[in-house]
Amino acid sequence: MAQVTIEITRGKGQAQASFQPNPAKATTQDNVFWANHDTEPHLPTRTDGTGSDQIWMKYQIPPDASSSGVAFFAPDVITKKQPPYTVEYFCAIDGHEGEKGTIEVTS
Amino acid sequence: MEEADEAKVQNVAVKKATSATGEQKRRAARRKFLRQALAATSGVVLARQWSKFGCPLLVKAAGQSPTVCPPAGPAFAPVVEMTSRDGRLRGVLSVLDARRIVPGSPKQLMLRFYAGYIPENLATPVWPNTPNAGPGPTLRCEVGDSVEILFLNRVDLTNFLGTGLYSAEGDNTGLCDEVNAGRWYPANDKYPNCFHASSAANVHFHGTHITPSTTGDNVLVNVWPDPKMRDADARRFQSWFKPIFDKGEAVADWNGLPKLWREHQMGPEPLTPSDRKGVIAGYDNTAVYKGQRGKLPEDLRLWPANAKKIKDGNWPQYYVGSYPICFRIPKWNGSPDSMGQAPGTHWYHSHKHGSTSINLFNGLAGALIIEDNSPTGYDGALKGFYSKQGQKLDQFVLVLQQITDTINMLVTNPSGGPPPVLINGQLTPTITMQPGQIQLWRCINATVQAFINAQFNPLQQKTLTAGLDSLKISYRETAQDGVQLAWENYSKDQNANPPFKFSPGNRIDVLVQAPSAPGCYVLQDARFGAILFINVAGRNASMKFPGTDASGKITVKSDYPPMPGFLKDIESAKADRKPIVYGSRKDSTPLPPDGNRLTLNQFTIDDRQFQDGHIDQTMKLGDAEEWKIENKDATNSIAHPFHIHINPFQIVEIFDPATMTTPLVLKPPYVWRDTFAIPVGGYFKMRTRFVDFTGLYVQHCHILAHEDRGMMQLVQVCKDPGSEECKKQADVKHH
Repeated sequence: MAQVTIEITRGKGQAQASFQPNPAKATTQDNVFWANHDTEPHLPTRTDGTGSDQIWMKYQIPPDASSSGVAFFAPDVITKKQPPYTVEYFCAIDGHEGEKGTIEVTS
Repeated sequence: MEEADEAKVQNVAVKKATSATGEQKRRAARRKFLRQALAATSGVVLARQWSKFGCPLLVKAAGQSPTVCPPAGPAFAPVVEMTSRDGRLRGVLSVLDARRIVPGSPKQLMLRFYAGYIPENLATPVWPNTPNAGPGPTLRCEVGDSVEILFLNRVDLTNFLGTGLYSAEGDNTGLCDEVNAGRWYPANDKYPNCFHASSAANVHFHGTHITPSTTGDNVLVNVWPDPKMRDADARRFQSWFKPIFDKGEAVADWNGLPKLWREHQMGPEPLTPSDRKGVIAGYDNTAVYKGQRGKLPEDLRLWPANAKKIKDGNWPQYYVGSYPICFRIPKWNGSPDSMGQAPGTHWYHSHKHGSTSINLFNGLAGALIIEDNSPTGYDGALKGFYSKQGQKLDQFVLVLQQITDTINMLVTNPSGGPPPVLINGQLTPTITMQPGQIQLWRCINATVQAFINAQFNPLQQKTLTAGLDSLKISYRETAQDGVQLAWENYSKDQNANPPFKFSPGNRIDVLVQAPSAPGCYVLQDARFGAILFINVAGRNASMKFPGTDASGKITVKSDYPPMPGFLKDIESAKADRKPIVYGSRKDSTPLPPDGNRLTLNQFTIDDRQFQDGHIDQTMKLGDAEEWKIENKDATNSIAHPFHIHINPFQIVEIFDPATMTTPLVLKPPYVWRDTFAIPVGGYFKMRTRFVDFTGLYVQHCHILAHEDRGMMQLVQVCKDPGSEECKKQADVKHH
């Protein structure tokens, strides 16, 4: 059980922010958080699925703040795959759709 | 449900406590050699395997003689002590965080911990002095001493994301920590009875009879972290607090605190709501709530809550970074309407509602040893007895903990069972004794939820034969929950090797005698396996228990410390209070048909959860009362440990339907306690005296995850329970 932190950063002059590390690695005992070091808010969201399980957090992450926790399960709640599996995500804020990341989940 | 919870939850003179003996040092060197030899030949027996496989396999795996303790185990290491000098226990207790070694864990864990400093040196803590996780420094003082501690919270929130009060998101109904947008947690838990804000801290002095108000044992205070605090700031706070520390008493009111510090916290006085300043206003202004910074609703801000308290003449609850702890350990004044502090084994721990369990899982607990070294005092009489024999009574403080980094117990897919029970941060350490030697062990169950049920055995269990006294570790309990046993209870036959059982929150003092046969012995818990080894070696010490006569019976009363006058039995008490019922209820909220969602039972007392400002029990100062505490938690079948602050109690009747057909009415002299596990489906009756201190405090379950999730009540002691003064106190929160 541990805290896995994904940093949201934006290089000088870059149009989009990026998630680091990417891919991130987490286990089914970890809690994953995003720390937003950008000047804009962000909202990491699962790419797949249509139900509420796609939503990881209720509110965007403001600048210089962190998200609430995200946990992964065995099996995965959407794909029903057992670990290891991969989860794709993106930023759901308008105009940020190109900001994408991957989390590799192991047991 | 206990299983389910475990799954989810998955001065100052500084001296070393009784320092390692020469024999222990020799053994440590021998162990190091054996460890190296084993690593080179047969592979190292990993510590984690010990409790899994038990002792006999250890012997086989290690290939050693059956009388040699496991070579890979650490020598028992006492925790460094901060002791009082000239009647003053002075120091700095700081909550810090770092990656720390946890025996049994394959990797270092990021944990919060208490670091202890002498006032003169804030650069280097006196404890911890190792990278290992474990308890805070042991505090040792005497009855009558003043306790003057600068408490600091310097936790770096970035190491514990999602644990600030408002730094995550907040949910729709409140401010609980969240996982997966609240589906996994808080699920159906509701603020404030949910895990939240675990980087805030405070200190509860468990077992003390001191004021529950102002700078005393005030668990309604929350100190938020200030990770930007510099050592120079801490020194500034020290200089500001010097006048109140020099007085050595709990301050009377807010204005009794230094003005400079008051203004540091709340801004210039008089306080102006339209121009809020100070670190508390700074916290309010920068907190994140529902995805936005600085948009905290007025009713959730700390500054106005404090300002209202100050205006009403009450004690504010919220602080940032620093707080003065200052009180005197009361010596009995001789009045029958008063009590003193019972000398004994007490402890301190974090007690912020919503965070007590994770904070104790991180290790935020430590021993508080209060001594009475007068000739007839508990310590003085025991030491004096052995001194007369030309012997010395070695004493050790054993702080039992389970350590994990589980973030607010938001374990997702738990595996591997509960964390092992560590002693002073060590996994199955080895204490060394001479054959026949008697040591005083002060045992503190500082675990979140581990019920200890242990027994001593020779390591090679097949050699244990009834009647072989030479192979038996003998022991007698001398104190329960930091209060000595009366002579009659100490000397009775049933106190010869009683069950070695205690619940979370309990303490037991035991005089432990090594057998005459050298060898390795083990303290083995029924659930956790081996928790301690005892290496019996060297020359025979030929010690005897106090009270032992020529025939070996315990009959000589003059050997044993007399019971202080204020600890005489409570012979009569008002018994008209409604029984207090510990229970739980299933949540009836319809759940949406989506994905992974927890459905949690809600822990209750009197069928309700803890509620801000709701006083559940009000008592009159000076009254003695008899309470019936029932366990009707049919869903979970857990013996919830009842604990009440400030005043100890005596149990006069127990009913455990698992073992009794009729209630057991106890005979005096009764045993004093402050924590007692309520039998499943049963009850106990206790008597207590609400003397010396008015104020607000709590009674709760000492399975701390239950307390965090609502199994707690506010209780209040007033001079006049119907008065406006009494009602005014009730405006409190505890989170």
